[in-house]
Amino acid sequence: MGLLAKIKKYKWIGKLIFSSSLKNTKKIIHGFRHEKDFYHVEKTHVNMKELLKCALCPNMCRFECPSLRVTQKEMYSPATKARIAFHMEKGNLDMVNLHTAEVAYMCTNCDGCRNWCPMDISTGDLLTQVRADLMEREIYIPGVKEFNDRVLVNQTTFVPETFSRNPEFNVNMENPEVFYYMGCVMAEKKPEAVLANMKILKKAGIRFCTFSDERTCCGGPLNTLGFFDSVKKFAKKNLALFNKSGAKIIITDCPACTNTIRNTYKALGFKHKFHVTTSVEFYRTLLEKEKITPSKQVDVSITYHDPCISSRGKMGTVDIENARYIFSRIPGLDFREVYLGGNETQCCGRGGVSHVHHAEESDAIGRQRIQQLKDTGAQYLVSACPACEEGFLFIGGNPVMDIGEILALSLED
Amino acid sequence: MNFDVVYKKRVEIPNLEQLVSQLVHIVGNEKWVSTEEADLVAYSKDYQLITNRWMMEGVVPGLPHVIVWPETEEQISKILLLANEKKIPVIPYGEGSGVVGAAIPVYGGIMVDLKRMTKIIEVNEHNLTVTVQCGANGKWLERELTKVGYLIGHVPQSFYSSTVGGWIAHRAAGQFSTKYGKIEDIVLSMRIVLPTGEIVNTKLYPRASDGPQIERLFLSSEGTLGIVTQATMKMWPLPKKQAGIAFIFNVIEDSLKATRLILQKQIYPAVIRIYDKAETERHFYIEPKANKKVMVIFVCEAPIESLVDLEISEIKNTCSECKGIECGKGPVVHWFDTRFTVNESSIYIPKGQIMDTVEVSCMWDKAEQLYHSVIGELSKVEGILLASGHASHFYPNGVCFYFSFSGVVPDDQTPEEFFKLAWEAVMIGTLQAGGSISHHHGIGINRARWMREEHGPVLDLMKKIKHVIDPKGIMNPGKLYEETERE
Repeated sequence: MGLLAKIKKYKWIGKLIFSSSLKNTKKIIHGFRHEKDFYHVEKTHVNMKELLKCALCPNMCRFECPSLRVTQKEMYSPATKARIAFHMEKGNLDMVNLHTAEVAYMCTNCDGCRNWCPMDISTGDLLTQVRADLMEREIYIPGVKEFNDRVLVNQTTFVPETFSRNPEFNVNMENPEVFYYMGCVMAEKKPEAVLANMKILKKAGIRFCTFSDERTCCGGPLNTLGFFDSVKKFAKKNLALFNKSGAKIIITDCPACTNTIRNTYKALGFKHKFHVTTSVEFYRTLLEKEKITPSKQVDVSITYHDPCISSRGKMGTVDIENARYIFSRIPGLDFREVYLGGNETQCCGRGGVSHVHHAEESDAIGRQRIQQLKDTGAQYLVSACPACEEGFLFIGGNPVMDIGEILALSLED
Repeated sequence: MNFDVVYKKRVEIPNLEQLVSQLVHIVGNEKWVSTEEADLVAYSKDYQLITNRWMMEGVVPGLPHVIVWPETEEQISKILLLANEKKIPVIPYGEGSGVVGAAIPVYGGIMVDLKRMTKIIEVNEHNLTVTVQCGANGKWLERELTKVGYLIGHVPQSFYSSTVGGWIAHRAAGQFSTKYGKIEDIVLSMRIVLPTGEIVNTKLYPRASDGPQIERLFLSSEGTLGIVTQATMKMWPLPKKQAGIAFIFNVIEDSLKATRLILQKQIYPAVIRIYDKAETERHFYIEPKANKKVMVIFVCEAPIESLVDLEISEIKNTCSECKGIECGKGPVVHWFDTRFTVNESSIYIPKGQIMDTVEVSCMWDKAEQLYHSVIGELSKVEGILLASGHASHFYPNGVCFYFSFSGVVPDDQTPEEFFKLAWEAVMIGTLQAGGSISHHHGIGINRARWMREEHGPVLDLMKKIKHVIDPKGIMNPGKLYEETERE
C-alpha cells in the first residue's frame, strides 16, 4: 500500500486522536508507545509482536489448518497454538512440559493459515521460531533431536550415499552455467525423476553440473525444526560448492531447497548472488525460448498437486501457472484440476518434516489429500515437490510422478 | 501453570482421576480425554473480547477440569448421564468463536468438544437438504457443498471459525440472510442429546401443526438445554447470477427508509449493509464520493438472471426516490474483499484499546430512535473514542443494528469495568428505544443481567423449562438465565 493510500485508510484514527480530550489523547499515545510491554520477553527467536497478533485473532484460518483437521483439538488450531506459544514464551506455561511444547510441532508449515490471514502472518513461521527457542533450551519432543543428529552425521536426510551411490547422478560438464541441485528426497526416493530432469537439461543444451559425490543436504528440514545453527553449517558448505562449480544458476527439483538456498541462507547471514530457481520455473523458460519442444504424445491423464511452498509465495514468488503451462504444451496429456488447487492447495502431510515427529498425523493429512487427488479420476498424481511425492508414494495412491518425468516423456530420446 | 483466573468458583470434583478414567472408558481411548494444562488453557476462553485483554495480562477467564472429545452421540449421552449423576457442569464446545462468553467454563467441569463430529450424513438433491453433524466448520461445509453445486446461504462473519452447532446454539445470522434466512429459517430438524442422557430426533418436515416446535427451543439455548449433535438444513443450487450496487445518502434516516421500502415491496437482496458516516469513513475510504456520507450496499443473487435484474432495478428506483445517489459496484467489490478481514482486535487491543461490537434489533418504527439513542449513550461513557454503527440484517418489519465501540480506560477503572460500562450504554440505549438486546450473538455472560428487562416474566418461563429439561442444572451454568460475576 502506497503512502497516500495509507493516509486515506488511517485518516479516521488521526481525527479520532485530535478530536479527543487531552487526557484521552495522552492515553492513546501511551497505548501506542507501550504496546511492547504486553509482549516483550528477553532472549527469544520469536517475533512476539506477530505472535500476539495471531493469538488475538478469532482463528479465521482454522478451517485450512491440516494439523487441526486431523487432531480435532482446540489446542492445535492456529490462533490457539499462537496463544499457547505466547504463554510459553511469557513463562505462564512451562515449556519443559512436553505436551505443552508439542504445540510448536503440530504444524506442517504449509502456510494455509497465511493464505487467509488479513495480517499476512504465517503461524507456521512463528512456530518455527518457537521451536528454535525450545532447541536452545534443549527441550526436545521425541524424534526431533535424533533427526538433527542423523542429518548432521549423514549430511543428507537419508543415508550418506544418497547422492553418490548412483554414478549417473554425477554429471559435471565444463564451464557449467547451471548447478542442478537435486534434493535428498528426490535422489533417494525418485531417482528416475533425477534422470528425467537431466534428460531435459541435456535436450535443451544446458551445460550443467551436479557434484553429486560432494553434495550435502540444503539444511531446509532442520530449519523448519528450529536448528538454525545446523542450517548455517550446510549453508557454508553448499555455497562453497556452488562457488567452486562456477555456475551462476542453481536449479533445484525441490521448492523447499529453493526456498532454503534463495531465502533462508540470506536470512541467516549468508549473502550470495546465485540465481536460485525451481525446475518448474526453469522449464517454462526453456519451453518459451523453444530450447525444448514436446513432440511425443503422452496419452495419460494426470492431476497436479501444487506444492504449498510454490503456490503460496513462500519462495518469494507465487508459482501456480508454470506447471499448467508445461502441461498445456505436452501433446495428448489429459490434465484434470483437483478441486482445491493453486493457492488453496491442501497439505501433503510432509511439511515441517512432520512425519519425523508426528507420523500418524502426517499420514492422516496425506491420506486426505490423496483422496481429493484421486477424486479427479486421473491415472497419475503429479507434483513438483519430492517431499509431497514421497508422502503420496509412502501412503499409497495412484502412481506418482514428478513434473520433470511427465515433461521428459514428451521429448524425443 | 502461572495464571490468575477470573471465574474462580469452580465446582469441587472429589475424585477427578476416577472421572477421567470413566470418560476414557466412554470414548474408548485416553487420547480423547485430557487434563493437560495446555489443553485446559486452550479451552479457557472463547472470543468474548475482554478475554483478549486478559490474555495479554496472563489471566484466563475460567478453567475446565477435563476435556473430552466424543465421536458419537451415544458417547455424548453416556458423558451427560455421568455428569448428571455426579452433578458436574458440562460445557459444549465447537470452535470458540462466540463473542459473549457463552463457552467459558465459569464453574469448571467437563468441556465436551464436538470437533470429531463432522460427517455429512446426507445431501438430498431432491428435497434440497443437507444433514450434517454439528462439529462441522462453516467454510469446510461450504466447500463440500460447492463441489456438488449447492450452498446453504448461511455466511456469518465467523464462517471460517464456527460450527453448525455454534450457529444453532446462538441462533446465528449470516451476511446473506436477507435472502436465505437466519439459521432458524434454515434448520428443519435436529438430533439432540438431553442432559439426562436421552437422544431425541425431531421429525423432518417442511412444516407441521403438531405441537410446540422443539427445534425452536434449542435455537439460542447456548448449550444450556442439551447438546445438538446433528441438523438437517435447507440448501440451494448455486446462483447463476450475482450483482451488486451501492448508494450513498446524506443521512441515515433516508437510507433506513429506502431499505425498508425495498423489503416491504418483497424485494429480498441477499446482502444489505448500511454504514453510518463514521463507519463509511473507516471502511470506504477508497470511495471519493463517500466522504461524510452514509454508504449502503446491496448484493442480489438468484438462479434466474432476470430476477436479479428486476431486483437491482427496483433497488435503484427506490433508493433514488429516497435521495440516494448511485455509487457503482466499487464499494460492493471492496466489501467482498474485506468482509472477513477481522484484525482490529489484533492491532488495537495491544495498543490499550478496549473494544467490542454489540448487535441489537428493533421494529422499523423504532429504528432511527434506537440508532441515535445507542450512539448517544455510548458517547457519554468516559473514555469512549469511537461509537459507530451499521445495519446488517433486514426484515420487512424491522432491522438489526451492529454497534462498535472503542476507547481508553479512565484512571479510576479497570479495563473490565470500562468494558461493562460501554456495554451497559448500548443495552440502555437499546432498551430505552424499545429494541431487543441481541440479534444474533446471543446472551452468554455479557447480556445475562439484562434478560429480566428483555423478557420480564417470560424469563421465569424459560427457567422453568430449563429446570424440567436439566433438573440438576449441569448444562453450561452461569449463562443466559443467571448473572456471573468475577470472584
